[in-house]
Formats: sequence, structure tokens, C-alpha cells
Amino acid sequence: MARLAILLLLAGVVGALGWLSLGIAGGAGLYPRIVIGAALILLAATAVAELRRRPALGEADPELAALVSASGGGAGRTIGFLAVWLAHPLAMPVAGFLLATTAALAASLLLLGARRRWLAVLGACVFTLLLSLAMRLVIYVPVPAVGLDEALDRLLFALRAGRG
Amino acid sequence: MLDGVLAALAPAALAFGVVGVVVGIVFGAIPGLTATLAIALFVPVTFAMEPANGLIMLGGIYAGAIFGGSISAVLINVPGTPASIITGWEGHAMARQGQAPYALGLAAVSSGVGGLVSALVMLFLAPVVARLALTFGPAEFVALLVFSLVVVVVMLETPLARNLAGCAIGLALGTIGLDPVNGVPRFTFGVADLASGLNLVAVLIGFFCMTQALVLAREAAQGARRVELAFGGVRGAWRVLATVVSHFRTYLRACSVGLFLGVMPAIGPESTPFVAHAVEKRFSREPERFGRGSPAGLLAAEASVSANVGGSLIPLLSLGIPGSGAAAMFIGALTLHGLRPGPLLFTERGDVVYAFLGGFVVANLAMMLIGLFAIRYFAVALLVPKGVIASFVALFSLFGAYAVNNSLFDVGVMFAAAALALALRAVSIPILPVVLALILGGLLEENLVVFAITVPTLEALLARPIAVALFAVTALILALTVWRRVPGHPRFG
Amino acid sequence: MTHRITRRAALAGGLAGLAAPGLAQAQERPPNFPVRPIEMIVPYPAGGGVDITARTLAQEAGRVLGHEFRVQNRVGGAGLVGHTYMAKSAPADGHSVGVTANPFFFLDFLTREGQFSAEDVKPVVGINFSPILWVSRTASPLGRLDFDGVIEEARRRPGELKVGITPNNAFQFVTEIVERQKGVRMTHVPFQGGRPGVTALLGGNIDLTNCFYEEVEPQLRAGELKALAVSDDRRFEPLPDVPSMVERGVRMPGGVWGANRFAIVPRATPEPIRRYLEAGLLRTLRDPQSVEAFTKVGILLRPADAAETERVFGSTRETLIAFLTETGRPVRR
Repeated sequence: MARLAILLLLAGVVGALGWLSLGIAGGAGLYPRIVIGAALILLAATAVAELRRRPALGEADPELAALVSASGGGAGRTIGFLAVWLAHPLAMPVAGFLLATTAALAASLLLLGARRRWLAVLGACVFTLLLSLAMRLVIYVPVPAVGLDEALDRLLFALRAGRG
Repeated sequence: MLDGVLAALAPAALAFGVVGVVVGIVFGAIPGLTATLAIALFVPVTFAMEPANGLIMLGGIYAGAIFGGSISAVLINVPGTPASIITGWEGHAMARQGQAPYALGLAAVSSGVGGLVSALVMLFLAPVVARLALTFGPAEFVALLVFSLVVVVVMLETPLARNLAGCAIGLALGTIGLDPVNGVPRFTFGVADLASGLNLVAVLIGFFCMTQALVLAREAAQGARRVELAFGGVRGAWRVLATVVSHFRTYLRACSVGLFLGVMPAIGPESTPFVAHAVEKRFSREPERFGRGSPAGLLAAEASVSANVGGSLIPLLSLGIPGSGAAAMFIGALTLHGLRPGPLLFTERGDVVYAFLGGFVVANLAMMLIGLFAIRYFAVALLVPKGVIASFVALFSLFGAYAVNNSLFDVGVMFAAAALALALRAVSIPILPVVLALILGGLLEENLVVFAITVPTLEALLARPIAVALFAVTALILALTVWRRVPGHPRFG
Repeated sequence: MTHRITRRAALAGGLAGLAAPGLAQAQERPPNFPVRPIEMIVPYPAGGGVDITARTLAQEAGRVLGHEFRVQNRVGGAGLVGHTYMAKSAPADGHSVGVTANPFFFLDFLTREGQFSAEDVKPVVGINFSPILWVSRTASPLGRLDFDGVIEEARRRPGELKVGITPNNAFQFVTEIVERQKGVRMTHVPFQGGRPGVTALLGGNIDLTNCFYEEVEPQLRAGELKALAVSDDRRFEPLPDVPSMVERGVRMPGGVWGANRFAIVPRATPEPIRRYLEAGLLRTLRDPQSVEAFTKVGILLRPADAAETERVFGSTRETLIAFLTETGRPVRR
């Protein structure tokens, strides 16, 4: 049943795009209508096949079955792991890269059962700092900079200016 | 020419080549950090170097990253770069059979062979092969793209309707953004970040890296400590070399496919292994092993990608037309060094070009040696607890999705793609046709439009034999498959 | 240089404003600025024309001014993402300098979905102007003809000549201007940028295409492609034998229909800092060693101060609105 529901959801999303494509003016809408139409027909064919032979969720895909099964424990911590990483990009513009990443990495490691907790936290701090430095000195990736990041930026800039 | 090539053996050039390869392997091996990103981030770094050295380093990074992607793909089933999706499919299956070192060795050597073949073609046949890029007009392109989609759809063993459904979903996702005819925004909901379409790299990271991070996280949360993979003894390079020699024809086919698709403008290394792998399966005596740990499948995928890398540089260097997105980045690198890629580059700045080509050969040799003899050290990755791997894969997935365009929106796209991948897996719609259709979809529509305008009549089409032949072959393959897998047959629906 | 700037100013319909480099150079460095590297924000991908301009400028400005400049690509929506960022969310403390080009910047809010306007930014300096080139393939039947010959051919075979354009953008607009004024009609073949059009032209799939000089420089030199005209009121220095469109009887203001590259800062950027940046970047653009560095990457500088750039903004805006209205395209102001 879950499979049918997901299939319906997929078809719903594709169908919504199809409905929107009707509003596209001129020739620009033709191609999307064709491929979306094809997708809907093929999803319908898939749904018919599902109805005929109702397979279980995660059949022939043990990895997926293990991921979504309620038994076996660890479901809560997996959801926590997902929540941590979903929160990370939202936190970055507010807290800055250094703080948000250190916190997320440490939380993720602790959730997934790091044996030595202090090592997980220390490791997260050191790693994030090294990554930050690499992004400023070797490769350049402008990650959201707030508070600590700006301080690091200023420090490096001042050091460089002092040397030159 | 010889002088130029020998210049690549100067200590500085050698050092830059090897450094490039190592950097590339590291970047490639980290899921989320793609080959294209590695080049984008290092173009500014090479700005300060001698032109030849900078280019050699970039060539090394490109070659190294393409192989590096296979390491994580084989060991933890997370392709490090989009070009290693197929390698991961075959390679991880081999690794689960306890053949990880063998798979990694094959990947390294095949990558090197593909790269060397493409380097040799660049050295001796560049002007001839480059013209091939120009004989392919919009009609031929449409035929080629449809052919690529169809061979992959019919090659997969999942039911045909589902493969096609995946393909159609991928094409539909590819229509998001400005349309190619009038520049009208489609399905963008007024969001500027969507105007140029979904960020492909972010989507692929979501499909393959983030989902796998979740799988690993669940396993870790259940108390699994390490990745359970018998690494076996490193049974020597001989077995690898014997396999390589006995697959001479596979290499010939894979390198041809890779070079050819590489030379085609705008077809990059991401889609190439799909086609090479599907083609190889047609020729194979053991097609049933494909997708379940077939060495031939792995060889074909890996060699074709590397050949594509070199191939995409051919029209760039001799015509000024980039053969792929990463090759387009090379234009920037060349221009910043005061070199203009185009018909005169070989004659005007032969010194730099030949040094670069020599460097590309050296980089590929270095990559083969590193790959072959450092395999045992890659196994260290397997000693790392699963929870740690999951956390870092998640972090780098975010970082990689962000860094392509420095956009947090793309991180959201990455998460949405991960959700879609899980949904598709849940209803047994294969992800590979979705990926290929998404990669090629935009290109297909653009070329369809130009095709419709420039080849308005049937007579005009008949005057283009290559296109007609490709269309005919595609139709034949499709018809044969549908006939063999009739509706009603369980393998259709 | 002053002569040219004056002409441009006169064209803008305004006062013949003389650029005053002396005044600008006297600008002093404000206290506590910069405190970190200055980011040059480029709304286009690495390796393109604007990106190469910005990277060269960043390197040269770093050398001339003695503090670090970096390039940050904010790519998406064909410039929309980066433009929106510069206008709406970039920090207005002088550490974010946008490098971009008109008419693309203005078109983003005049015809596209851009939720900003020219009032959200202030110009710092004008960098250069690269006109649009019309090119044909030497080995094709059209290869013998000059601009007038091609127009004649288009008149003889209405709708048959295929010209490469980018949809609803400068390339198509220039093509329409020529078509309307010369009374001819050609088939527009849409490409996503100049290079794919050049590829199609080289392969003989279209008859001519619009592109920028840097996209075809090697092919022109090798004699594979032939430049027919440039979309300006004067000839383009690297191509002294190629006529301007105005010379060939197409009415268009100079310096608008092409890539007019400039640097901007968010409106709220403190004036002393903006003036320091203006003076510093002007000094860089006039520095002989920098001019050489730009020439090496194929960029011909046309430095202009902020006041001049502001005036060009005005004339560009008027020209664009007039054109869009005339051709029946909706204009969002």
C-alpha cells in the first residue's frame, strides 16, 4: 500500500507540473507537455503493474528496507542525524560556517555513537577550522561568514598585511 | 612537438602533474566534491603559475578526480564524482564479493588506459578528430541523444515501463528553467535560482551521496561499527594486468565511445559511462553479469570516462569549442594565461600545448601507478567507523552542493533530490535513466528546437545520412526490445 | 581616451562631462577599510568574459592597491541570481563589489523576473565595452559577401538566412534592430550563448551568428570566420577593417548594444569607501602594467569614472525601454 501511495504522490507532483505547463505561453510549453504526458502514462502503467502484484516496500532493495524499517533500533537517531544536517544549511547564515558546521558535525558524530565523546567534539572543531583555513588560503569557497568567520577573515587579512 | 612533450618531463612540470593527480584523487574520492568543482576551485590557483605547469596541474586534477571518484564508489558505494556512478554500480558489487582491491586496481589501470589513448589521439589526430565535432549538426545530435537514452533504457533489467518512466521523469525535471526558444521561465515559481534549471551536480549528490549517507547512518545507529567488506589480500598487480590484457576489445570499444562522446560538444564525462556500459553489454558474452560485478562492465565504464576527458579537450584545443562543461572551464584557464584555444593554438603556442599533452600522459601514468600500488592504503577508509563515514559524507554532500554555485538554494535542491531518489527506489523505478535523462534533457530540447528550424523538411533530413542511420538503429533497438519484452510479460510492467 | 569619453557622454544626451581623473586619484583610503579581502562578485560562471575581466581586475587591483581582492562567482538564472544578490543581499560595507555587464543587468529587471532595479546599486567604474559581432563562415556561399551583401541576400530570400541568436536577449535585439531598419527578415535560431552559435556556424548549420570578439578571435585570425559588422557607432579597435553597424546605416546609440562591463556596489555602501574604490580601480585600469595584463587576456579597456558610468546607465535604460516598447515587449519598471 505504501508503494502505491508513493507512486500516487510522484504522479501527483508530475501531474502538477503538467497542469502548470498548460499555462506556459507559446511554443515553450509543447516539449514539457509531451515529456510530462509520457511520464504520467508510464507511471499509470507502473501503477497497474503494482496493483496486479502488490510487492512489499523495499522488495529487492534490502538497503532501503533496512533504512525505513521501524524495527532494528536506531530509527530515532537516524531521524536525528537527518534533522541535524537539514538544520545545518539553515543555521549557517545565522551562526556562520565555523559555528554551524562544528556543531552539526559534533552532533552527528555523537548521535551515531562515537566511542570517545571528547574526541568527536575536538575532531569536529579541528576539522572545521582546517577546512575554513583551506577555503581561505588555497581554494576559495565563500561560505556564509558571520561572527567567528569574519574574525578569522580579519585575522588572516591583518597577518598578511603585516607581513607585506 | 618532441621538445614540447619532453618539457613535461622537467622536474617542475612533473611535480605539478603529480600534485595535480594527488589533489584530484583526494577531491574525487570525497563524495560531494566533484571533478568539475575541483577544476573550478583550482583554476584561480593555477593563475599564478607558468602556463604549461598550470595546465598540466589542471589536467592531472581532472584525470585524478575521475579515478578518485571510483575509490569511494567501490568501497562505500558512494560515487565520489558523477562520472563514477556506473563504476560504483559494478565496482561495489565486486567489492561485496571480496574483490575490492581487484576492482580498484582495474579502475586505476582502465582510467589510465583511457586517458593515455585519448592523449595519444590528441597528440597525433587532434585536427582530424576535431572536425568530427563539426559534422554533427543538430539533427545528428538529436539522434545521438535519443540513441544514448534508448540504449540505457533497454539495457537495464528492470521492467521496461519503469525504465521509460524514469527517463520521462528525468526529462520532465530537465524542463525546469528558462526555455530554449523564447527564454520564458518554466516551473520556476519566480525563484531566480531555478531560472537556469536544477543544478545537476546538486541533484546527483542528493541522488547518490546523501541517500547513502542516510543508509550508513541507519546502520551505524543500529550499532554496526565498520563497513563489512572483506578486503582480501592485495593479490598483486599481475591479476589486474592479466585482466586488462585479455579485455583488449573492451578497451577498444570503450575508448572509442568515450573519445567520440568527448569530442561531441556539450556531452561531458557524466553520461559517457552509461552509454559505454550499455554498448559493452550488447557485445559481451556474459551480459547477465553486468550490474552484478562484471569486470568488463567496470573496465568499459572507467576507460570510457577517461577517454572522454581527453576527447573533450580535442575540439577545445584545435577548434576553440569546449567538449564538456569542465572543458569550458579550461577555456577560462587558457585565456587567463593569454592563450586562445582555437585553430591557431597548435601552431602559435605549440610549446605550451605539447607540454600540456606530455603532462597529460605523465599525469595518467602517475595515476595508474598511484592507483595500482596505493590500493592497500585506501583500505584504511574501511577502518573508519560507519558513523564517522556517514557524518562526513553528509557534510561533504552539503559542501559540494553548495560550492558549485555558492548557493544555499542548491543545498535544498540536493535534499529534495535525495527524497526523490528514495521515493523512486521505494517504487522500484530505477534511478539510472532518471539521471541520464536529466543530464541530457536540456541538451536534447535545445537541439530539438534548432533541429526543427534548420532541418524543416523530410528531404532535408534525408540529406543527413548519419542522423538517419542513428535514428534507424535506435528505432530497431527499441522495436526489438519491446517485441522481446511484450506487454503482459511480467518484465514489461 | 578623454575624447572618446566625451563623445559617449554627448551621446547620452547629457552634458559633455569631462572625466576628472585628478580629483578621483586624490581620494584617500578610509580608516578601517578594508578589514578583509574585497570580493568581486561575478554573476556568470568561471571562464566567461565577465569572469575573466573580474579575475584580471582583481589581480591587478591587488597589485596596485596593495590589498587582496578575490573573485566570487554567484551563478544561476543566466545572471539573475548574482544580480539579485548584489542589489539586495550583499553586505554594503565596500567588501562586495559586483562586476557585471549591461544590457544584461538592466534586462534582468526590465523584462525578466528580477526583483530589483538600477537604484539598488551605485556604479564604481566602467571597465570596457565589447560590441556584438556579426560573423559568417568564409567557406560558405555567404563568405564572399560583406554586411551590405548579406542584407541584400536576406532581402532576396526572405526568411531563408538562418542567424544564431540568444532568445530574448541582446543578440536577438540587435538582429531585430537590423531587420527592422533594413526591412529584411531572417530565421532566428536560438542558442544558449555565443559559443554554441559559433559551433553551429562552423559546422555549416546556420548562415551567420551573433557573438562577442573573444568567442571568435582565433577563428577570425585563422580566416575560418569573417566579421561582417560590429554593433556600435564606431569601429572596434582590434578589427579596424570591420565596419560599425552605424556606418552601414543602422541607427543605434554607441556603447549600448554589446557587453558594457562595469563595477557596482550596493547602494548603502558608505560614500567615502565607494569613492576610494572608484579612485583605486580607475588607477588600476589606467596603470600601464594592468593595461598590458588586460590586453594579454584579450580585453581592451575603456575606463570610465562613476559619473560617466551613471550617465551611460541612463542612456542604456532609455534605449532599452524604447526598444522593448517599440517591439511590443512588456516592460516592468
